[in-house]
Amino acid sequence: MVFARVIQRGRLWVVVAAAIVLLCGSPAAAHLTPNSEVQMAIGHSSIRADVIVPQGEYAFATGNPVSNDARSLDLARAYLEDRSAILAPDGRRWLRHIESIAFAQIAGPPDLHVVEQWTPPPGAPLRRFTIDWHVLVDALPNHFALFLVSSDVANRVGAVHEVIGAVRRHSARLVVDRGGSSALTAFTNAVMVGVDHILGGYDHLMFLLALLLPASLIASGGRWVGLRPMRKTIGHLARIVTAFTIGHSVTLIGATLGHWHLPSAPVEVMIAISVLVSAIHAIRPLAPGREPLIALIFGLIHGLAFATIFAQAGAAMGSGALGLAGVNLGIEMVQLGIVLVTVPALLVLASTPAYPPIRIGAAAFACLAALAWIVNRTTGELANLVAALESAMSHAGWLIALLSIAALTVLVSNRLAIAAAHSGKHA
Amino acid sequence: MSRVGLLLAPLIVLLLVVGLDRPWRSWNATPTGTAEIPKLGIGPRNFADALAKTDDKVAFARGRARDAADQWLVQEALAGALVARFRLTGNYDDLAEADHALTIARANAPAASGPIMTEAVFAMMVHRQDRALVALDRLGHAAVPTESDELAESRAIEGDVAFYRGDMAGARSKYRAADKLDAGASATYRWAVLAKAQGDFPRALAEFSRSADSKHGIAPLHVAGTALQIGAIELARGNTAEARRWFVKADNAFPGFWLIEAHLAQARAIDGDLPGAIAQMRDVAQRSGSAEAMDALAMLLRAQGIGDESRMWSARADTLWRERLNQMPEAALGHALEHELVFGTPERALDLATRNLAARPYGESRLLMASALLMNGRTEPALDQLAQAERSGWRSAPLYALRAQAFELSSRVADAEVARREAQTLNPHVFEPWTALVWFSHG
Repeated sequence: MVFARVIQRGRLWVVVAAAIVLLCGSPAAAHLTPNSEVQMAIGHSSIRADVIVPQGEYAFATGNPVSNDARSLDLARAYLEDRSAILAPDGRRWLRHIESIAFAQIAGPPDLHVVEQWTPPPGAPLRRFTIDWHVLVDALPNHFALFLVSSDVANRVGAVHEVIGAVRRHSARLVVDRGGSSALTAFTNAVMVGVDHILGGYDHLMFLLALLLPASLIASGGRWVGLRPMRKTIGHLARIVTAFTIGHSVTLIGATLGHWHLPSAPVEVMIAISVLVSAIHAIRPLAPGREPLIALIFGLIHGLAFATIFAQAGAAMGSGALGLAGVNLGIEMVQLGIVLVTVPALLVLASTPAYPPIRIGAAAFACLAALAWIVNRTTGELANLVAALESAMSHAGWLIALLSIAALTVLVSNRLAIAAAHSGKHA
Repeated sequence: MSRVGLLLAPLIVLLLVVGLDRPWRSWNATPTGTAEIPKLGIGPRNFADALAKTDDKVAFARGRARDAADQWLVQEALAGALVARFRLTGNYDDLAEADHALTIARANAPAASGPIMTEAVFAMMVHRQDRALVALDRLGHAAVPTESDELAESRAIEGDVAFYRGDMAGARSKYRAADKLDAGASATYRWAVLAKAQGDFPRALAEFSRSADSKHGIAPLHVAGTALQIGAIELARGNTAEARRWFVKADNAFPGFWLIEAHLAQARAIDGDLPGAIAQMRDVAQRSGSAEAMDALAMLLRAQGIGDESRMWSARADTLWRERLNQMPEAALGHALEHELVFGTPERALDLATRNLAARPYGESRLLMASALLMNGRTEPALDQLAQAERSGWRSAPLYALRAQAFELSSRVADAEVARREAQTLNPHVFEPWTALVWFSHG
C-alpha cells in the first residue's frame, strides 16, 4: 500500500533512499586478521621468547594437525625451526632450545604457544641480532608478527611491553639492537638521528657543498677569477662551516626548547631555495666574500627542518638537552666529515684548468635539483625527476672518491715536476 | 547454632549464590528485547513476509514493464521494486536489472522529465558519484518544479558526494543546507554516518536514536536497520555486549533477516563459541547465498583451523565477487576488495584498491588502500594514505591500528606506540584477538 502510494505520487526515490539507509552501516572496510606475537625477555646471557601463533591461521597455512599429541607438536616444532632463525651480526645462527610447546587458549581463539630460550653463538653479542621470521607470513600475505620486549636486564621496560618491530611477507627480517645503558643509548640514538637525517637529507648537503665550491676563489667583475691564498681559503672555509653550524643550531635549539610548531612545507621550500642561491653563487658570485653570512642566514632555515626531525624522533631517543645535543652532534659529525673529505680535493683541483668545468657542472646539477625540489615541494609535480636526481646523489660518494684520486694525481705529478725541475737545475 | 547448622550455613549460602547468579546475570546482561526500541509501525513483520511482498511487487512491476515498456514511470516502478528486494536479499541481479530499467526509463522519458531523482539516489547507492551529480544537474532544469523534500535530498546527495570524495567539511555544509530545507529521517542517518566516520560515537548514537524516535511507529525493517547500526557503533568502540544486545533487538523487531542473523553468529564467535558461530554462519551463508556471509564463514572456519572448508567458502565468495564486479563494478569494488585482502593475492588486492580509491577517495578507501599497500610490502605509501585519511578528518580504531602496524614494520616503535594509543582510545579492545573474527559492521 505504502509502495503504491509512493508510486502514484511519483516519489519512488524515497524507496531507494530508504534502501541506502539500511545499507549504509555496512561499508567496505579493511579487516584485521589474527597476528602472531613474540615477547622477549632479555637476560644476561640468553633471551627467553614467548611465541604465540594463532592456531587457526597455523592450521590453515600449513595443513598440520593442531592437537596436543606428540606428532602434532613435533610437526609444529619442525615448522617453527624451519621457518625462523635468530642470526648473529656475522650471520651465525643462535642456538634455540624449545622449553615448551602446546596448542592452548590464552586469549581469544586458541594459539600455538611456544616458549624458547635463544642463546647467541660464542663471541656473538647478546643485544644485537637479526630475527629472520617466515612463520605464516610467507603463506598468508596479510599475516603480521609483532615483536615485543617484556623485560631487559640492561634497560628499563615499562609496564606495557616495548614494541620493537614487526615482520610481514615482504619484510621478514627484523634487526634488533638493544644498545647499552639507557642514557648512553638515548644519546647514541639521538646522534644517529642527526647522522641519518643529514646523510639522507640531500638538500642540506647540497647547500653546503655548493657553498664550498667557490670558497677558494676570488671574485672580480661578477666572475670567479683568481685563487685565494691557501691559508685564507682555510680560514674562509672555517667561517662558512661555523656560520652554518651557528645558524642551524640557533633555530634547532630555539624551535625545540621554545616548542615552535612550524609548518614543514614552507621550510622545505626555503631550503630548496637556499640550494638554488648557493648553486647560482657557485657559478657567478652573488655575494662574494659574504658566504659566511649566506651560510648563517640559510643555516637558520635548515635548523628548523632539523628541529622537526628532532621533534618526530624525540620520544625514541629521550627528549631534552641530551637528545638535542645528540642530534646536533650527529649533524656536525657528518658535516665535518663531508668537509674533511671534500675540501682537500677542491683545494688541490682549484688551481687546475679542470676546476671551472667541475665547479660549473656540479653547480648546474645543484641548480637543477633545487628547481625540481622547489616545484615538487610546492605543487607535488616532478616526483619522478626528484627521485632520479636523489638516486644520482646517493652515489655522490663515488664522485668524491674520484675527485680525491684526481687531486692526489695532480699533487703527485706537481711534486714530480718540481723534483724533476730541481734535479734538472742541479744537473 | 548447632554444629549441623554451622556446617550447613556455608552450603546454603553457596547454593543461594549459584542459584541467584543466573537470574542476576540475565537481568544485568541479557538483551532486553524490544523494550527500548520504538513502536513498530506499518510494514511486514518479518523477513519471510517482506520477501514475499517484494517478490509480488517485482512480479507485478515486471508484468507492467513488459506491457508498457516505453513508459518511463512503469520502468521506474520496476526499478524501485527491485531495489526494495535488493535491500532484503543483497542479490546483485536485482541491482543490475534495476539499473537496466532506469536506463530504459531515462531513454523513454520526454525532455526535462523522467526518473531524475530516483536516478540520482540510485547512482549514490551503487557508488556512481558523477552520475548522481549529472542527475541532480538535470533536476535543476526539470519541467516539474522541484519540491522541498526533493531539494533537500538533492543537497544531501551533494553532501554524500563530498563525503565520498573525502571532503567532510563539504559534506557537513551540504547536510546543513538539506536540513534547512527538510530535515527528514535520512538526514539523521547521514549525520550519524558522518559522526561515526569522525570517531564521534556518542553523536552517531544520538543521531541514530533520533531517527527511530517516532510516535506513529516505524516500519519493522527500518527499526531493525537502526538497531543494527547502533550495534555496529557499539562494536566499533569495543562494547561487544552492548552490540549483541542491539543485534538481538534488531532480530526481535524483524525476525528471519539473514543480515541480522549473521551479526548474531559473529557475536557468538566473539563470546568464544566458535563452533556454534560457525554452524550458525554456515546456515546463513547457505540460506542467503550472500558473498559477505560466505567470507565471514570462511574467516571463522580459518580461525578454527578448518582450512579445506574455509577455502571452499572463500572460493565460492570469490566467484560471486567476480560476477558482481562484472555486473555492477562500482558497487562491488569495496566489498570485493575486503574479500581479496583476506583471501586473495596482494597484486589483485592492490589493483582493486587502486580502482576503489579512484572511485571514492574517502577515508575508508584510503584504509583499504593502505592495507593493500602493506600487503605488498609498501609501508611508506601506506602510511601516506593513512595520513591523508586522517587529514580528511577520518578517525577510526582500524586507521590507527593499521598505522601502528605500518610503523612497527618500519621499526618506528615510538610512532607505533602513539598510534596504538589513538586506536585504543577509540576502541580499547581493538588489539584483542577476537577483533579478527569481526567481519560484519566493523570499523
